[in-house]
Amino acid sequence: MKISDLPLNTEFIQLIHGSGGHATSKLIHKLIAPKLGMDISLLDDAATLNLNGVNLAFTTDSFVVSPYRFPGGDIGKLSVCGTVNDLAVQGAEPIALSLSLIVEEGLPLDELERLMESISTASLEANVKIVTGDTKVVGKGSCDKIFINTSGIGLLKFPAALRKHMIVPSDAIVASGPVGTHGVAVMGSRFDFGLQDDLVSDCQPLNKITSSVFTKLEGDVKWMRDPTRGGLSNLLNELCRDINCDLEIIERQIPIQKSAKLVADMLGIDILESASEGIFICIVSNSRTQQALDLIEKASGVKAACIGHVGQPSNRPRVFLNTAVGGKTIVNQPTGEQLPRIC
Amino acid sequence: MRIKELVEKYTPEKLFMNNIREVASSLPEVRLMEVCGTHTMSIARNGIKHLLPGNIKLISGPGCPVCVSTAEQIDQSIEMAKRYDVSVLTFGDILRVPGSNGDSLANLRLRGHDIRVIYSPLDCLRIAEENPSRKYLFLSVGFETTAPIAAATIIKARDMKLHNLFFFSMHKLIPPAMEELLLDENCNIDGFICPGHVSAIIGLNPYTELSNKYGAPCTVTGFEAIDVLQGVEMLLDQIVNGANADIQYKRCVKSEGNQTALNIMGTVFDTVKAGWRGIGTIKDSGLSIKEEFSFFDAEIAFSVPVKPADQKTKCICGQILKGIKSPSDCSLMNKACFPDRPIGPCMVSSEGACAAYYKYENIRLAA
Repeated sequence: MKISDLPLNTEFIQLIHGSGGHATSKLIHKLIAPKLGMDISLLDDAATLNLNGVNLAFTTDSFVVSPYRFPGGDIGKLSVCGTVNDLAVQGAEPIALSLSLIVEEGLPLDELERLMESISTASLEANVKIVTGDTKVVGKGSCDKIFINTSGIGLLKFPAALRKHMIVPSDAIVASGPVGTHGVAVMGSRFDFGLQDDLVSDCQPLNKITSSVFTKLEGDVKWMRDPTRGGLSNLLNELCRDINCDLEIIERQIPIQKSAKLVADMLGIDILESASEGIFICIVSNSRTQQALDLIEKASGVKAACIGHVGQPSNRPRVFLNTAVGGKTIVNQPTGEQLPRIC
Repeated sequence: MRIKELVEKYTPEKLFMNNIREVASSLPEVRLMEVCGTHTMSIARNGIKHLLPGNIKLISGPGCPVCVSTAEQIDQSIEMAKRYDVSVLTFGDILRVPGSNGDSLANLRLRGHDIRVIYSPLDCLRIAEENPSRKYLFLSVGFETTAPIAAATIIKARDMKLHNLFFFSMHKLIPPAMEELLLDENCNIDGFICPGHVSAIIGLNPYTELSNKYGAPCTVTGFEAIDVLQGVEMLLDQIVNGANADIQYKRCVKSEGNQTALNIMGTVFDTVKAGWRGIGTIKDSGLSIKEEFSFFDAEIAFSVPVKPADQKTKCICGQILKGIKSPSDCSLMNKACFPDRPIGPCMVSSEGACAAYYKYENIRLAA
């Protein structure tokens, strides 16, 4: 039966299902996880497994970014950093990655070689080994140049940290660096804004920085994630529902790169919904906020910021934003693909 | 007082707010309408309604070109695409606007029809040139900001001798809609926050006419939060001292507008009556392609019967677009109409009043 003959109310997979927001969440919770018998309450950036007393984290991610080469990186670097970071924010030391390539017929060999060099450089920087992999080639038009999947295993090393049931109102919400840079750099590179050097992706492995934070702060760092798809807005909405507390965010305190904001405004994109690939958001005990900021800055060379605090427990938790001019709004969960303005 | 405290006490926004509070304290309820989707979003995003004194009400008007396109026009677009099997080029927002039977261009795309999102009308030229065997239909939507670019694209298409690119003009003009609302006694508008970029094209003149004819305060305002606050301050000043259309957004808007853009529009488009969702037909408020360029007119090349849309719906977009009701008044808000499952265009469009409310102001939820 042709697709065009299906009934008008047939439901299809749409691009919105891949955005990481509400639609993705619904797809996973209502269709995928139930079929696989997965415990929804445990769905995190990485799964935790106990093997003969050893606690491991296991995660997987696929990368389909287009263009595959962008200011500040490429799909190779992204595929290593993305998976390393998913392990790092769960308190795991990344040990090994698998690397699966799906390549479109016609990709120049030297392009593939450059991507492998990026992967090699990134994995050296992250101190992680690629131990196994697979390569498939598909006909022209069957995939967009190259798709990559990486899966990763890490050793859970900080048992005292990341206890989200220890979160209390007034705990600080910390951003390790400017938000939304990667998404805007990639979208901006599709146009000729002439900002090549000023606006580059923030893609980087986070495990050395997170390790420093976990080691020094231990039980005082209670939650951590990296704001990829859907950006800070998506992450904060997931967080408030995860801990059943309102969040109070101060817009003036959210670090944003000027060039990223400029391009986001020109394209009509909300930078709070744009992906980051080299920062994390964490919750720390209020009393240790300054120490956390200093630690992150020392480990990364970039200024971190306290962007707000955990509010009161709530049945219907919301993310409240105190805007730069003194207004008050909510930060809602992003709903779909970002579209530039019409006029 | 330490320097830091001084700086924080005397920020520009605080200074404007002090003035606004002072003037507002002597006024009854004041209803200021913005007629630009970008203002709708900026006001919601910055929480400005919450900041202003309680008697200064900011209301949204028909400022979103996608929202004011009629259901008939959406039906027409879908029918053109299907009946003539043409590829569609469109701005992203229109994709998900439902037509009168619930179908949409997004739905058509899922079913295999070639429908592409473009960011500028000029992109159409390249696409049409690269694919001479395919016919392309561009849905030309927008107010006076977009119309000159569309006109320039049509001229270029003629110069390039393209035979496979056609334009469905759904362009509309803002000042006639403003006048229509001033004449509607249900709207009760005390002043207009005039659109910054439309005004960069049309200048101050159209608003001066409205100010003189109806005593309506008009201020052409920019889009940063600080611009909106200053714009409100200037409007309150006109309410107290007499309507006298002026420009807050001086860094971008000249009184005489952009004559080059206006000339290009006049070369390609005639001014005609047009249907506005929720408002009805307004004379001289739409743009239609002149006879000289009729080859490119999709309404001729892909002629389809125009059926009046049968609109039995609880959606109150029509009243929201006139500023009579607000998104929180709609019975479907938080119950049946959501950004990912929209019922009306005000929720679909990224600049619609309902989308702005849901995204930034929706502090109360359904029980």
